[in-house]
Amino acid sequence: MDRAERLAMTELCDGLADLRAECLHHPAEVRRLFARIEVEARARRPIVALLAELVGSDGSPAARGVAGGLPGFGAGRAHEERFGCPDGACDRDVRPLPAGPVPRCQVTGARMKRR
Amino acid sequence: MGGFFQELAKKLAERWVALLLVPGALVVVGALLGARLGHAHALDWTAAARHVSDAVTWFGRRSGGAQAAVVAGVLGAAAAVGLVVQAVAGVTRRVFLGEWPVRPLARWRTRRRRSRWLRLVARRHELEAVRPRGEPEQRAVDAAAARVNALAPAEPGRPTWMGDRVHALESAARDRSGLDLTFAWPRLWLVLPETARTEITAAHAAFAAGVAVASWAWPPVVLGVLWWPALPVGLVVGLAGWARSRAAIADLTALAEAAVDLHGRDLGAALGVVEEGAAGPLTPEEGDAITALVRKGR
Repeated sequence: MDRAERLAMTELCDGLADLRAECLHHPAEVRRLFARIEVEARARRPIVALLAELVGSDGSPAARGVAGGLPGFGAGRAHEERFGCPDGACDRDVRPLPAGPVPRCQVTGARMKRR
Repeated sequence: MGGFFQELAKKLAERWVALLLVPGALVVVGALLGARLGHAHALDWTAAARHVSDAVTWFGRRSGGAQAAVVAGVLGAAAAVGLVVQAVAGVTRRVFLGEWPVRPLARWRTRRRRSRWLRLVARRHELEAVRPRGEPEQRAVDAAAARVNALAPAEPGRPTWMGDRVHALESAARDRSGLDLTFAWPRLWLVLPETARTEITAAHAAFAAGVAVASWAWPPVVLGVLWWPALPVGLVVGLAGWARSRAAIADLTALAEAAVDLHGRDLGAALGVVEEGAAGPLTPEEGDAITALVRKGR
């Protein structure tokens, strides 16, 4: 454990009871974050970053935007998914709905294979 | 407490004041002023200034004890407004996620979203059939796919954009991985690594925070019945919360789908459904077996 972590752990241990009492008056997000800090501290894992989050956050964490990739990313190349006969017995070719159910062979009921 | 933690406790106290007390106090003051002005003199600044001046004069003439009681009353009312807003966050959440009590309206909106999505998919398929395909044609296909995904990442099943994000997560997990997430999610959560859980928890907290902001739109909207200038204030607050919630639910569902893709097999291994050491996302057959185990005939 590095010196900063050790110092933070010392301070946390020293003021834990008062901090617990203080956190009871705060929104659920703050209480959850504090509970996580306690779990990490008990497991002797780093807590400095979490404490920084507790001090720096306003209790209303912002979305990180991971859904759209990095800033400036485009929509990407369309994936043209096609499915064929599960055992290659015919040339049936099916274009399913995006993220929709995998089409099935009408004869055997087996799921078709992605081409 | 040490200096660092004294500062931390102070910051937490300041945050509570900023998040609940200040907006609550603004609502209380707005309600008192709005009730005096009404719709007839809604923007009469002279009358507003006179009312404020009268209130200050009245307050100044009270005894120390009476002043303390008035301040305590206003703070209590502000805190009560904050608590009420917290309580109605569930309503805001249901509105955003499309769990509407008015079923015919929800069905109508869902139908409209579904038919628009299917039209966009059909247009995409038309563009994909164009031959030969050069760079401009490919760009047109990419743009068409982006329009489909922007409306919903899978066939819509809810009346709202946010609701369809969650619906797409459920339906893609069921249709492509065989997983019924309603039952499988708690088990998956227990086998996820700490980093994945941290990211998903953060995205969930961001969504809750967006909903909390949007919930502050309710008091001004109700106050708008008495005093119309409160309505645009409510609209702006609601829009801000809605935009934050949209961004957060997009993150939350993207991360949850990633967790299913990356760790679904760990769940299968833990349940003894898939072979230890095998790699890749769950197959629908493996997911079906997991679903059968976790649903237990329910």
